[in-house]
Amino acid sequence: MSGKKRPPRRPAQARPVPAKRAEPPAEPRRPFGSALFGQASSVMPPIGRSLGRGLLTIVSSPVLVVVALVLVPLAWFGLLAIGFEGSPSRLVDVLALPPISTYFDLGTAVSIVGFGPAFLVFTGAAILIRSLVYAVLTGVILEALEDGRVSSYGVLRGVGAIPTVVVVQVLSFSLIVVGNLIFPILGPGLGFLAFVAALVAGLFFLGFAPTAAIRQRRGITETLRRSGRAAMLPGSRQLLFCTLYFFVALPVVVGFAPGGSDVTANPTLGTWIFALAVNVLHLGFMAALSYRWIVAEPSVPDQPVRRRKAARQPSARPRGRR
Amino acid sequence: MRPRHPEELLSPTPNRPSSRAALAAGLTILVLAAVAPGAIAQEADATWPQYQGGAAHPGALAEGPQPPFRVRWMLPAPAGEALSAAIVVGDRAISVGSEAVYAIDLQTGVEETIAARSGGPLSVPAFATVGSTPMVLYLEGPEASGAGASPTPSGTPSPTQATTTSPGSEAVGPDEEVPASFLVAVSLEDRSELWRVPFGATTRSGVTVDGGTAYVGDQQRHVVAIALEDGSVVWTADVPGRVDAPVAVADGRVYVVARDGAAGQATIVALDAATGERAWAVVPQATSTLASAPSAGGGSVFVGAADRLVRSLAPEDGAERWTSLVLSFFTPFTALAVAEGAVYAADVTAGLYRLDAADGRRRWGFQLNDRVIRSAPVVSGSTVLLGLNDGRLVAIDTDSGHLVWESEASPGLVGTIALGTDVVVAVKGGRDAGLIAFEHDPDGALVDVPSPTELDAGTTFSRYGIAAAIVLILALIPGIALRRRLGPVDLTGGVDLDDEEPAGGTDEGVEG
Repeated sequence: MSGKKRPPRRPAQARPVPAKRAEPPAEPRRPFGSALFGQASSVMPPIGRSLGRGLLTIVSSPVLVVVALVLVPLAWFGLLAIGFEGSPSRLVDVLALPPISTYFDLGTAVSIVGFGPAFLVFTGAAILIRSLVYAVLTGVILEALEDGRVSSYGVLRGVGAIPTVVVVQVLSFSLIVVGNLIFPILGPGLGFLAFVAALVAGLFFLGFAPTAAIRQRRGITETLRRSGRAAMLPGSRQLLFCTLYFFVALPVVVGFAPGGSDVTANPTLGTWIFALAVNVLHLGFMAALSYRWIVAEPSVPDQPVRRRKAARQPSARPRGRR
Repeated sequence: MRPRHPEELLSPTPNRPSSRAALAAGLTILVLAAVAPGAIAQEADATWPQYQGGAAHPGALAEGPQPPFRVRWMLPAPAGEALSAAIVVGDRAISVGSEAVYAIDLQTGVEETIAARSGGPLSVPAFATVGSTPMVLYLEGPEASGAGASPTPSGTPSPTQATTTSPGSEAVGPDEEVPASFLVAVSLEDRSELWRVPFGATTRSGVTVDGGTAYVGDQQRHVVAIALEDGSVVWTADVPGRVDAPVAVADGRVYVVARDGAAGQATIVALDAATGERAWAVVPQATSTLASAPSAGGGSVFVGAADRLVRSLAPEDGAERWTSLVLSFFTPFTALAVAEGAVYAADVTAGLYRLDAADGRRRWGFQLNDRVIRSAPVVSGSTVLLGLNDGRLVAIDTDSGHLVWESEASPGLVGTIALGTDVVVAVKGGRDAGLIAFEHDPDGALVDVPSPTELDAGTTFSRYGIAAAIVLILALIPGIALRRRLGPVDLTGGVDLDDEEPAGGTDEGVEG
């Protein structure tokens, strides 16, 4: 351990906004790409620390690990029951964050029912089920982060965020559908890149919304706005975080999944181990996002930040207005 | 090479289900011969006279060989890189190579040249009999050099004596100075060329024969009907795309899958077999040109398309009778088999399905987890045979949908299959691409393997239980130990909010 002076520990609960934070009237212009590469003065914790604390929160909680281990086979046998035929490698994204999870759901819907009215019915049901699961998981993860334990209190807090999470899922669905309609115009290469960028952008702007909904209990629109503002905090590295997650969750994880694209109802032992472990990792990313929100919450502006065209101020630490 | 007498080449058909059926067939032949002089019953002498065994592409032979199989022979292409799909006529298989058309002894695999050929895409030939003359029809040219094949002097009569013309006929016929390709008819009696028809465009559809007419599609959106008797063009019809797969003929209609790359769509077109007039056209989906070759049977037309739907269409107006969703799309080099009230379809990811021909309900599906690019299912007795890209030939029981036999995987795909009464002849890819023949193996063993998509609850739950225990242990033991050592998560992010000094740049991990 380093010999640095450590900050005093704070109570693990939603903290009121310090009243003394009177902010300057306008935000100084940020350097281009600060949201991607970050800067030393950011209030948002670094990616490594976020992931470390997120993963530790999950793997130190038997309940959360068991939840991941139970939800994955539930999803698999549920899909088989309604006629799914496909590769068990899909299991790796059962607990993925939206819009990647939405992408997973759409692929599953197309596989089972093709395109048509049944596709919309299936997708609607998937959005509702996933919203419930995602909201409750966020609630219990928040509780684990704040109090170091998981209880029905976390579940109830999560249930309160369901409307916001439903909107997040619907927006993710719309993003993917519109992307599939528009981006092919750009051609196979550029169109694909644009589609990937759209998925990353979806996670970038909406990733904090469930946590924000639970902790701040504001309206859906305001919660979504705050999620976007938090992502746009200077030096947040949120874009890098989302890009990293995207590549871990789709090409890397799916590409390395044992069994490849073989269609079977009976995953191998290796496939099960890989899928379960990866879904624990998804929960780790989910917890990392919640952790980042908790840390940055006091600095998330209440209003959209006005940019000033004046020369950059030497301020060491940008902050949001209240 | 000694010319073989047709009696040697064409053995009598062994399929005689009953004397009454034979009598009916004989009467039918007599009637057809009376109605259309010179035309013929080519089916009587060949178990598999053209692509998928018939003009309608049924892909079935009731008295076909049964598994287990063993390899009888393999024939690498004598010249060029590959051989076309074969047809089976008597005791010979006939296949098209780049430089010649070959007759292959089904017992020994020894080939002999029927006719020289001047290159061009390999496509399936067809067998027909006109009067007493057995003939093989195949497509030829353009030559590999890219120059159009020079019109070779042909037998009489010349196709310039076209008896019928129809829209688009200018692409075929004597006006073409440098024909791109030809439909050639060669007598199996004396190997003489009977006639040849020049085409203005490359042809790769293969040849379909129905009654006294041959049908060919080309790459410039034409379907041409040619009289077998003299090679005259009966009609030429325009279709909305190139024709890559053999057309199907049934119930007085010619069914074509036309692929338009520019528009990105495939269209199923029905033409009047007598006049070439378009009866109807159906676009299965608007985003891909991929669709299987058409098949017809039981009063319906069947096509598998890129939207993963197998469609049953009414011959009269193309109305959709039913659709059935499968796991993946279909390539233009496959076709559906239709036999005994069932439709057998193989998608590109080697999912083989049995569908009810009446309502499209899936009776069973078997996922073979490979690729089916250049093969089509064929029904041989009570089993469905399918060639796979990994070099396997597999046999699935038509009733249970279980795998009953499979060959060893080998380099090069197993492609389009032709059936004889005691032999399976398939295209073989790979380094020594050519043909491969299988025969029943009396010493072989059958298996009974269900599709991997059938849940094996015991095995799957066991595997899951072991996996869950492993992940639980690997995650929780170090996780809890770390938590005890490091204490609760610091929710300040390592930042003292009251401190104006930046702290976000450090990454110390979890506090102890």
